[in-house]
Amino acid sequence: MIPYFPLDDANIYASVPSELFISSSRYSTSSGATPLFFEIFDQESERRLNLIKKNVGDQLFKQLNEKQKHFLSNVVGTVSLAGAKPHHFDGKI
Amino acid sequence: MAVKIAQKESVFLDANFLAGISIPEHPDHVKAQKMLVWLLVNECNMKTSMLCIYELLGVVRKVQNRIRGNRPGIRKINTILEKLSFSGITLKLVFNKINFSYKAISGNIDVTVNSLQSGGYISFSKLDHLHLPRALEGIKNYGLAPGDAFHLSVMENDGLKKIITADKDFKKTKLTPVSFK
Repeated sequence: MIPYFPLDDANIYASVPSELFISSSRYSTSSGATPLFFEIFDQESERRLNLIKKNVGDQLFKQLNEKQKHFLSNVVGTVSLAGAKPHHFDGKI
Repeated sequence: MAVKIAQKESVFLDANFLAGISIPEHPDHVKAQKMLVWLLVNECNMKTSMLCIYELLGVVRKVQNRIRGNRPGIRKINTILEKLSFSGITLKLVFNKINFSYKAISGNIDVTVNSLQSGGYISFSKLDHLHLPRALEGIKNYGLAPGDAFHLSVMENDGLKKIITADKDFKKTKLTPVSFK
């Protein structure tokens, strides 16, 4: 299982195993590689934001800025009781 | 949702609200999300305390028990059935398997607390021995539960008047409870 790392963790590059790095123009690092982890995190984050949007309604949701959306995707539904695993990321690729 | 909070106002977040936000299986999960988005949009200054995180752990257990069927009502029925046992045979309502442990959810709580602090929208109020006298006053004057009395003390110390909560006990105090339900 791959542990969960917050997106803004400064040590993420040091923590993610090298085999998870792939080339992409979307994120740039000093080595030109992109953590696959980020791609998966983005998908999960987007899925959760869509759920929040559905729950709170378009009118309220569209008033949020990007930083607030990022915050919401990090705090809503973090304590999942299903198997008592972190809701953020289950480590499966 | 009748919101009685002004733009950029400071509010305290009670444990039941944090539980509503963070537990997807919580009955008020959607309502808590709506309130949190409203508070963000209106740039409210949100505060909570580590005592709320302690209480959050208890709520996680309660919600888990509720899902698994371990409700107080069923436990009461089992107590009655136990008393009615005949020739050593006792009927019992069996819950779904309960495998709750605080150890299992400790990682989730760690993620939750880090996430709550990450955006700079929610801060944690200080709580120490100096809050005890006011907390005891809260118990004495308003009949508050110990946890609520400490929230009251923290809020008074920080000059906060409004609390986002589902707890009606705060109506007895000078605070303004704002329900998210």
